[in-house]
Amino acid sequence: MRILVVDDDALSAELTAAIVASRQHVPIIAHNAMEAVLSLEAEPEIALIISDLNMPLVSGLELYTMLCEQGVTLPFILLTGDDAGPMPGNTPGLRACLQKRADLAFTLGEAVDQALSG
Amino acid sequence: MAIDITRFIQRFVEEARDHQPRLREGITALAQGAEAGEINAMFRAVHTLKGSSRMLRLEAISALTHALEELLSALRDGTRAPDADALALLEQAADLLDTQIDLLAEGHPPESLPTPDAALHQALTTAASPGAPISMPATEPIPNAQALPTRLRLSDTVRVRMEQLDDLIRLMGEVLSNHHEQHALVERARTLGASLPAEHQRPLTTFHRAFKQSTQGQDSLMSELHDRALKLRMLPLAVVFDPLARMTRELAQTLGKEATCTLSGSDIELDRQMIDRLSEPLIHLLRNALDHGLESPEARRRAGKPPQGRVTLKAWQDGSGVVIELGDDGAGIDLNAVRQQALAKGLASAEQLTLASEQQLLELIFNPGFSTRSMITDMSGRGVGMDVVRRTVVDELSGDLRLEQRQGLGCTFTLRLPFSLALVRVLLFRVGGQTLGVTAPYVSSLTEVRLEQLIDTAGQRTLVHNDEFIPVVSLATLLELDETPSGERLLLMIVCQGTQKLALTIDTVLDERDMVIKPLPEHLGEIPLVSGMASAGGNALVSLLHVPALLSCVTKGAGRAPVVNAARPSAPRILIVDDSLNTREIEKDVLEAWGYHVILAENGQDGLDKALAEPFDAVLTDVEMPVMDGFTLTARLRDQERYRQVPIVIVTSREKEADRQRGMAVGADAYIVKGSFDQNHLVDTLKALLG
Repeated sequence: MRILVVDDDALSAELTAAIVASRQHVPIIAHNAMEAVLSLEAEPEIALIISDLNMPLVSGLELYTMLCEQGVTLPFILLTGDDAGPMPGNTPGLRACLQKRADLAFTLGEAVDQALSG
Repeated sequence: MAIDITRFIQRFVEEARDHQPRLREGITALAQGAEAGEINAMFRAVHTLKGSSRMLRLEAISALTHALEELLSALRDGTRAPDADALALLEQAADLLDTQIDLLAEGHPPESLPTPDAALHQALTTAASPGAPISMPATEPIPNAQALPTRLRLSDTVRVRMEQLDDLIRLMGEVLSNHHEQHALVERARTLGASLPAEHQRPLTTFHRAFKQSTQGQDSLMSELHDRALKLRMLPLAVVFDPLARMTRELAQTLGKEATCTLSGSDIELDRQMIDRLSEPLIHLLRNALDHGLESPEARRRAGKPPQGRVTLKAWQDGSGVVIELGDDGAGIDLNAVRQQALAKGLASAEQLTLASEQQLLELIFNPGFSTRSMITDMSGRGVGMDVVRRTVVDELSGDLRLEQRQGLGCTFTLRLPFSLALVRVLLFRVGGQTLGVTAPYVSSLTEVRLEQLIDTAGQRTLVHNDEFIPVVSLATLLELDETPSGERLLLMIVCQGTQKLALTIDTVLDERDMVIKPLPEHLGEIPLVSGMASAGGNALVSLLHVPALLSCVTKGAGRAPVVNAARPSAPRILIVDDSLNTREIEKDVLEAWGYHVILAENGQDGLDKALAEPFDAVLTDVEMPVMDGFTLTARLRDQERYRQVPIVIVTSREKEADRQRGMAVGADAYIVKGSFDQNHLVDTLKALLG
């Protein structure tokens, strides 16, 4: 499966991509919301979006709302460098909000499998 | 998990090294009383580091950055003032972060990194909670003393004074220029060897081969040296572009206008020398666009345009140089105002001005003291005008500046520039017993022709080259050198500036190489046809031809500038439509010599406009032209009652029968192929058609 990874921090994006790749998926990296939208247009086969929450200009959550408004209903996983807060309410397509921690490899792997199977 | 995170550690260190200075700069800025913007930048840096360090299980770093982030967010939200204590705490935390990153970079395992000791951690987190007094930890900033770096850590960059870099690049240019002499020496070694008796030749042949190989090896090393050295001094165009974009809105406001500036290509890099001198002409062009180009918001509304004007500043790479385009969507240039101003300044006579083509009129704008605004405003009306801009671009930057305009739609200035002036590509040739050079951008092409291939147009030898008529001039005669008797074949070097072209006869081409151009010493500054000198290795110097001066010397000398012609008032009026300046001028010369009254147009649309504005007795048109081609023009003219019977002659380089038939089908009366152009044929054809 192709999975879009959105993160303004290049290193963090690569790490997330590595996790995605270890699950036999193909990661596509975008460094901001704009690139993300362009990638979605260029790659119609993307099945899941994983985005950092805290990004300049357009945050991960804003990206999610923006895509919803455009009718993009792909499952969406948020990552955050902060301590995990409550899931933002009224966001049915949002599958998870995970903390960037050393166990992300595990938690994200699980979340990806779930999101793609459900 | 199958992910090997160790390979990401190095990337983390690199990234951290990018963020560290931001933190330090922020602390300094805070100490000087900076506001929230600075804190945001610091916060982002720290937050990013926290995220990555957590993912990489760098616990010491994530603990520190987490605490640091708390303090920064308190500072950002204003719940904590950036007082001396808070700053000291930030400094201490930044020091610890430096130590952590350094140790990590040296390959220490993540577990061994010093963590913020309880005191620092405590201080950071309590400092973050509102109202709590900051209790400074004992100044014992470096825990884990044995992990202290033993070496001084130096930055990866050094500051170098500009002059030193300039000296280095100048020296590099000299070395490269002089290196060409090696090739001559290699060749001499070969001829020396060949002149020896056969039994002594062997060692010299071996020497020659080794010498040649070594020289060739040097060649590639040197050109790499050249590239590398130049790179050191390159700066992105953004340095010039960004301030211009910012300036636009403000400048427009002072003029009672609204404008935005869009940029593209600002990442293209140019030699700092160029960037330095480019700013002034560009500012001038921008001011010109805002002052003369853009209309007031009301005028724009009336013209059906959005009230806010648009200025675009674009750059792109083109061959061995860069093209910069500054365009506006204003009213374009009022050609009538140009005519009036030129007349008032005595730049041309009324007759010349009515005859002049649009391009010729636009050229007038580059005359000293020219300005189409009678009212002197704060900005571009000061009369230091386009002439200074053009001179800077052409003489100082070895570039070219052109202007195009569309009535009511705006105008565009196009600058062509080399990436650098350190070394310039020069074509070396011989003429009249002298070795001369010309900088490569001026050379359009080289061609060899038989004498009989040249055609005669009103006494001027002319070359037909790619759909254009180009006057042929003997360079030796022009420079008052001895003319070498030419054989059956002529070697022609076609030089160009803007739309103007000239074919110069030369004897031989010697070489093409990168050379260091030296300006003429002051006492030689008056030689008009020489733009500079180049060292040709050894003690030899080569003079470089000043092509713009050469072109204007030829046009003036040969009387090809708009002349007051002797046409009788009753003479037939002919409209010549061709996109090539040279072709138009030559056809005009021919017809004027026969007493016709000639008006020029530079494309089909221009021709159509002129033909509809006043009557003509005949129209001569080229086929391939921008905006509107000659076939369309012919067809459109035939649609007009007034031009149903007027003779239309197509003059083109298209020889195919199909084209000829198409020409006839759209209504042309005659079809003349430029390749077989014969002025008598043209004149006879016209005479026959005009009856």
